[in-house]
Amino acid sequence: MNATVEQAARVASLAGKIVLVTGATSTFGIGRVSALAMAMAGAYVYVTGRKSDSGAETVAEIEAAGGKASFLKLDVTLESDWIEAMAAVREQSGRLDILVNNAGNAFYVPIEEMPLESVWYLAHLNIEGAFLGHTYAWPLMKDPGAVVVDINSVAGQRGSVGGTSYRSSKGGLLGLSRAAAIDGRRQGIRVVSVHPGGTWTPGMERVRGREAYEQGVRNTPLGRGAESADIAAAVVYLASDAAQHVNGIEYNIDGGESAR
Amino acid sequence: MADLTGKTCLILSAETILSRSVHDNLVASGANVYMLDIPEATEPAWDSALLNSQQRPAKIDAIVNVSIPDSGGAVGDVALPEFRRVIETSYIRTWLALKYGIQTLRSSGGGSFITITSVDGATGAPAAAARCAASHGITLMTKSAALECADKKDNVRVNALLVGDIIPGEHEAYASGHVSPEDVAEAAAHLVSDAAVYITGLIMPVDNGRVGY
Repeated sequence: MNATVEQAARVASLAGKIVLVTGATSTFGIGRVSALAMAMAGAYVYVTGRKSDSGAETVAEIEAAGGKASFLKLDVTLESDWIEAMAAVREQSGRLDILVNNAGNAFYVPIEEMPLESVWYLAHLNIEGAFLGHTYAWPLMKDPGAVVVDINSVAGQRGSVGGTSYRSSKGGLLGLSRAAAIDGRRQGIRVVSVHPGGTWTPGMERVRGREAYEQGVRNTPLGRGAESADIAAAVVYLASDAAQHVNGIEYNIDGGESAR
Repeated sequence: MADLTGKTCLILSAETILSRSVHDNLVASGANVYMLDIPEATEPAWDSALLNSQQRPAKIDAIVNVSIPDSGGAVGDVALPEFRRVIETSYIRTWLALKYGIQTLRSSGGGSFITITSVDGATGAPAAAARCAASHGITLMTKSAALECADKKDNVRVNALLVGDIIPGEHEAYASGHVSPEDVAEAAAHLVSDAAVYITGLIMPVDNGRVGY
């Protein structure tokens, strides 16, 4: 039992909203499915990522579903990419209503075997990538309706073996989201932190594999895993004006994992 | 006051009011105490100054890592180089302290690792983008390191203190968020002691009630 992208798109209207999603080009990834659902809900979506070919595929998928989108090349760790992407958004749309900081990566290695370079890699991508997103998107955002959705993970709330670099980077992201929810006040910008549990995505396939994923989700209270559309349904709601008093929270979509 | 007779403790910190207070409390509790500052955030620096140091005592029972990040300013105002500097000098530095500190304690048959960081690791705060990110990250690093040590059954405990604004002197209770360095030192000494032998993975605010209300 999982939400479909059509269900996610019907959660709330995003008609007239200008949206940018990072890391939105992986097939059945949370970023790509959220971008699709938001476009189907009426938003204009800037699909961003490092890969132009899969970016074009994502845009084509959105257009085939009747939505509007375009691709911008954006490696979230590069400040110059953010500056260029935001200049393009300013020129074409004049403003940004919704930023989804989704790009990220994960791996689990015991601390004594983990090289410092890998810790920096995850800090650059998972913390600084979102930091740059807030920093460069905010000047294009205005109250009412401005919101940043930071895609975190239950990994940002709980420790685990092998998690001193990945889980700490997601913890750092949560701290940034909370700080941003407070500092956003002067511009009326909302910031929400979304925490999926076990979700079947290309990232999960790469990091944990099907077997470890299945075992992990069996141990949650619901006993089953999420798919990207389940997360997209939450993103559509949290980004919409229906959620305009929702700010600074951790929103878990984890089958009850965080209740244990 | 904790009884730390016979224990050898290493404080990883520059000389500050807080690290001096932790030092004095541990000494008064009966421990042999060394203070070591490793400013360089590279693996060779930490390996040679800590794990494979010829100068350090052969047996170390506890390591107290003092790592309170600078605030970094408000989201939207703080530039990347300043944000990254805070991440490097607290978050990355604490990861290095954990990597080489845990192995040092393992080589001693076990022990207690304590990081003292900011209470902004538990909540958001205004104009503290980098400190919130770094200290939240440090809490999750602490939890994962504690679980890794428990998984290895290596007798190493890993905990963190989240401290409020450090202001010397007496403070009115409650919820001001102000604490004296002695308050923090006392909590650290408890986590060093054998009275805390079942405490690991704990993220403990020492904040005069700031996160409690």
